[in-house]
Amino acid sequence: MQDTHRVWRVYVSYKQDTLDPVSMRIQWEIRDMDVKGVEKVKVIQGFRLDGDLSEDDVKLICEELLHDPIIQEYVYFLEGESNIRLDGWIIEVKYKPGVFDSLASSVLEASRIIGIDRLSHAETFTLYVLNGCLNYDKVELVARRCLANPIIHDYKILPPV
Amino acid sequence: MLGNPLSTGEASMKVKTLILRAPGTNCDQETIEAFEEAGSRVEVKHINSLLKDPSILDEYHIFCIPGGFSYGDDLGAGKILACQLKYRLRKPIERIVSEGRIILGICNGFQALVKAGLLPGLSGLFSRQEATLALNEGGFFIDRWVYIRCEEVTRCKPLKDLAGAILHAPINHAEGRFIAPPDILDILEDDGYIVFRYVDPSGCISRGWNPNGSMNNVAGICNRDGNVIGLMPHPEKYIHPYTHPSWTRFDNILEDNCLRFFKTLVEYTYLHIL
Repeated sequence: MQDTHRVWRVYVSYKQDTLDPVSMRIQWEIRDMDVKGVEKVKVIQGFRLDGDLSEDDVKLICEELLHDPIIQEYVYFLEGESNIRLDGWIIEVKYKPGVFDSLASSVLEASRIIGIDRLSHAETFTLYVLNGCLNYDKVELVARRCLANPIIHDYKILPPV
Repeated sequence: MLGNPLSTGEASMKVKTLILRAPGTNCDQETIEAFEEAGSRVEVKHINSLLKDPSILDEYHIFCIPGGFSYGDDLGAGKILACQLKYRLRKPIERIVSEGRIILGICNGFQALVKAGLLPGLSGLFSRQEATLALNEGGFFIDRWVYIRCEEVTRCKPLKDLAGAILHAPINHAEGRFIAPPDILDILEDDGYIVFRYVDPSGCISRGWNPNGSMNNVAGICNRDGNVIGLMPHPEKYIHPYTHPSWTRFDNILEDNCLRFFKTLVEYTYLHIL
């Protein structure tokens, strides 16, 4: 066994060329807000898995619980060690501290069903990757009015690299 | 010929159906009533009872997973229930399938069977997920009535007497868009795995009457032996004429409801499984 207590991050998104109704709906809503310049939206469901998990454990959790193999794909990596590059403006939306994260709770419960009891904590977040003719103010407006609920969510914005 | 066992009440003494309850199941009562009206003895068990004693499943001829939002559908519709079936109830479910008894999944039950790898199960039971029921094309929850046609050419012997029938039934789902990779879809089409398709009122396949963007208008499928069956629409919600929104307006609605779906299953079970 090579692993000790570490934090893994998992990104789940629709496969390329697969219809993604969530991204489409967000694009409609942004258009409905009369914000111009957003050409493409990609939605990534993120998970933060904390525990004494081996890479095989993480892979099993991803395979069995976190993604739908027919329409989605996933990547996982140790927190702080990612080489993944997301092109565009990135908005990360996650629950404020203290807000119940039902999806994370289900990950914990379901991981025990598949025989993994070393997952001690899970959190979820959503990454929205926006492409187009955008500036910080526009992206902030989209984040505040469309992607996050300020009562329960925190968000942060990362400009394109 | 044994005659119609349902009319004599014989079947009601013998065919036993188990309805599964799980956290978030919400169509169990209608499903109980549908099977009872069709002439089966029905019992309902919570999944925790089955996990405690999986051999309970051996006592029934029909195992039905009804609709709802099991475990909140948090990880995808039916996903956690699928894990329960795959990891905790695998053996008794394998026995049901190999003995030719019937498993029926309606809506969330269908989603769970597909995600557990029980439907279509081309590579073997529980081996891998081969299709999915994805978020509807428009991205929204749909609540409306649809027409479905029971296919003439199908491996689904338990529903053979329903072949060609057009049923009118409600759908209530966010994740009902049937998707399969092209090679899998070809097999499903060529080898009779497709049991129900969304059609127009005259029974013709039509893009406009496909409510969720399902590939090839697929609304329900079965496994190789035809005894694991799943469908997205809810036939159990239309076993009485007066649950149809237009029942006061049309005369033929009085006879034309989905009770025949359940009667066909129960009668087949009585004649071929008992």
